Formats: sequence, C-alpha cells, structure tokens
Amino acid sequence: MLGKLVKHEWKATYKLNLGLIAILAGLTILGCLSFCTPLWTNAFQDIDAGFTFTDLTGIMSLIFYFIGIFGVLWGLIIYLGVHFYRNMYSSEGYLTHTLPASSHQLLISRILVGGIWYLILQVLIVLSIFIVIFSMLGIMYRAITGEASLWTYIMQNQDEVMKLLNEVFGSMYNMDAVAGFLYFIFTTILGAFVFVMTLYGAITIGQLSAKHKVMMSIVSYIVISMIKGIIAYVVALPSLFYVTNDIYSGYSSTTISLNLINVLINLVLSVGLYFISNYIITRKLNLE
Amino acid sequence: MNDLVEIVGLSKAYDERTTAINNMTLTLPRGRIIGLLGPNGSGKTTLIKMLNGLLVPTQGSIKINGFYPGPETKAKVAYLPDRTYLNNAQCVSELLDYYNDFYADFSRDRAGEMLTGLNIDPTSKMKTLSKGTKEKVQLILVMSRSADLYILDEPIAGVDPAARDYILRTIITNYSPEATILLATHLIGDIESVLDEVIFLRYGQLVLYNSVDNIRMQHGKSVDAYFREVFAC
Repeated sequence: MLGKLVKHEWKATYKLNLGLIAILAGLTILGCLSFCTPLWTNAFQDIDAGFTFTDLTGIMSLIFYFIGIFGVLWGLIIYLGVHFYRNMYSSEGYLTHTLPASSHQLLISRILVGGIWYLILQVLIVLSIFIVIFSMLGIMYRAITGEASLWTYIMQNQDEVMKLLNEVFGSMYNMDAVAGFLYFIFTTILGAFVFVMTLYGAITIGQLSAKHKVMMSIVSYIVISMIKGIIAYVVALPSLFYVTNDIYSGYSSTTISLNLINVLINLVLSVGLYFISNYIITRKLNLE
Repeated sequence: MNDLVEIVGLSKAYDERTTAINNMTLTLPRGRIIGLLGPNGSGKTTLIKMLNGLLVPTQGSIKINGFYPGPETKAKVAYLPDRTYLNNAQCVSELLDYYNDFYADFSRDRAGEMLTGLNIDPTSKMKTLSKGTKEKVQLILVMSRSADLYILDEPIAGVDPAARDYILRTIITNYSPEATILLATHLIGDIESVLDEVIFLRYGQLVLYNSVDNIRMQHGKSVDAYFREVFAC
C-alpha cells in the first residue's frame, strides 16, 4: 500500500516540480550569460572601459538569477504546503482518508515524496549556483591567464584542488574532503526531510483550529521554528564560551558538535511532530 | 456474522454544548437499501463520517464486518461524500487508474461501460466537466466497486431530474444482493421507490428504524408524507 501511495503522490506532484526544474535550468543559463558582458573581463583585467547598457543587462540578469533562485525554492515550499493541505485536509481529504491505508502510510508517503522533491530542488539549486560561479571563475581565469579553459587546469592539477577542498571541508567540519562531503550529504538529506516534516506538521496542527486553519498553520510553523532556535541556542551557549577561549583549535570541533546537536534537535522535534500529526489525523481530524 | 454494521452506544460531541450523535445503538443487515433521513443538523453526516473512519466517536463503537473503522473496513466501504472530492487537475482515466490501484474490488470494465453509457470522455479533465457530470463520475467510481457497504451522502442533490433517474438506476443495478446501501438525502420522494428500510434521525438520536412496507402499512402513507408528519416544524 505504501508503494502505491508513493507512486500516486509522485504522479500528482511531478509535473509542477519538473516545471520548477525547467525554470531553474533557464535561470542557470541566464546566470552564466550574465558574466559574458565585457564588464567582468575588463574588471578582471583591471581595464576601465566604462559602464555600457550591455553591462547593465548583465548585472540585471545576475540580480534576476538570484531572485529567481529564491522564487524557485519558495515556489516549491508553497506548492508542497498547498498540495499537502489540499490532499489531506480539504475536500480531496475525503478520498485520501477513506483509502484502505493507515494514517502512518498516508503520512510517510507524503513526507517521503515531499522530502525527495525538496532534496532534488536543493541539490539542483546548489548545482546551479556552482555552475554560475564556475562560469564566472572560468571568465576570470581566461581574463587573467589568457588560457582557454579552467576545467583543463583543474583536471591537470587534481592534487592541488583536492588539497584546497580538504582545507575548505577541514575548516567547516574538521574532517577530510571525503568525510566532510559525506557528512554534508547526510545532513542535507536529513535536513530536507526535517524541513518537510516541520512544514506538514505545522499544517496538521493548524487543522485543530475551527475557523482559521491557514493562519494557525503559519503560526504553528513560526512557533516550531522558534522552539528549535531557542533549544539550539541554549544547547550552544557553553560551546560558544569555549570558542571565545580558544578560537583557533576549538572552532572546527565546536562547529561540528554544534552541527550534530542541531541535527539531533531537528531529528527529535521532527519525530515528535510526526507522532503529533498522526495523533491529530487519527483522533482529532474533522474534515469540513 | 450476518449483520453488516453494529453500532453500540455511539455518541459524538464536538464540544460540551454540541452533541451530534447521542447514545445510538443500531444494527444494519446485509442486502438492503436503507434511507438515512432527518432534518438538517440531525447528525446524518456525523454518523456517516464515523462509519467511514473520518471521525472518532466520543463514546461507543462501530463495527463493520466485525472490524472497527480502519484500513480493513475502508477496503470494503464505498463512500460518496456530499461534495466534489476528486482532484480537478486529473482526467477521468487517471481517476480510474487511482481507484483500480487502491481498491481491490474496483471493476474498470464496469466503470468504462457506465462512462460510455453517459457519453463521458475518459480523457476529459475533471475541471472541464460540469458539476452534474463530476457528480456522475464520482458515483460511477463508487458504484464500480463490489463493496459490502455503500454510503452515499446526498447522491442526487445537485443534478437534474433526468440525471437523478440515471443515478438511481445505477445504484440499483450495480450493487450485489449481499451488499447494503446507506443513502442519506432530503429528497425522499425521489428515492422512496428504491428503499427497503429507513432510519429517521433527530437531534442525534434514532427516532425510527423500520422497513418502508411497514411504515406504509402501519401509517397508511408514503415515507415522504410520514417524514413530513414526524418532522413537522
């Protein structure tokens, strides 16, 4: 039954999400093109050639790219929320809740599909930003060195690149590049599902209100986020003192332990929200 | 296990002042078409929601086929709510796939025949259909199941008289003699001819559960006329 629920949830959501991915692809091309104006090459070569209309278009395109990226992410969040609300708690809920499935199966299928879409969009957004930055670095590299391809340089100097990545992840997580990357992947995957659970949990709590379900959902989301923030802050306080005492050696290990604590807090709150949502669906729900 | 539905001491209170169903005990047999009748606010929809597992009783219990409302009963109860509940973005054939996937007792062939009979194109999107056609699609989906219990909440309220005849014909010709149909409506005159038994509800309490023939014999009038007498304002 869970497989069927996941299949139909995927079918119901893929069209709009593919649309968002297509928009993201278009934005990425726009972001890359925005660096093709003479402004950037001149700036990297320290040439003062004035500011032309083409340069303005490039800058505007870049601004539009970043606004668009936020738009895509918020578009997904709003879509996931509205779809979950409609499917579970509006008139469509009459069909959803009379399927021969348990409330756990209904919830898990929605969280799974929502989490996967959020994860896919997040990864694609990071990839998009990476491509745009890489295209900018490529132009910078060509302008400064006169060589054709940054990619060729990277492939020829893999050891140096790995060393740089090790330093980056080392400063972030106190790990080597591979371990840091795996940790990053793990927290990103977990974060996607935690976010979707928080969103769906808040919408479900909102159903307890007789008249102002949407408002109650928004307030619930804000309150849950505040609770998360307060707990994370209280837990982090002693570690912050530690950072001040021994800033250099303590920073990396503190960052990772704070990060782990944050992951744990999110995990515990999400599990709690899951069971609260299940309780509301099975015991308190009254579809209009 | 001859009885299909067993309701014992059932109550539902939304808050301290609003009791929608009050200490109801009732047993529904198999193989009947039963009218669930009562004025607005009598508790019909609350009872239907509880039978479908959409509401939890405050007190008492419901058993269908020996099971409390849950996945086991939902697999054998075909429910038509009093509203449009299908996804408007889907086309009719996608909805057939949906029902076919989730309900083991769904017959795609039977649904296809009914759609053809009503000239409804399976490739049409729900949002392009009129309100009446949407209701027909919903009824076709529900009546294409070989369920033990059909619960139809106001199935003829929003459609024209010609469509009403079709819907009633569909209901009568598409359920097995072992199944029971519970039909809630205000339009008693239109459905009286198909009913075997009726339940009268008032203020969440069972006023009467009797066969249509008995009512006619005992009171010398139609169910519609008797209903108007019992619930006269």
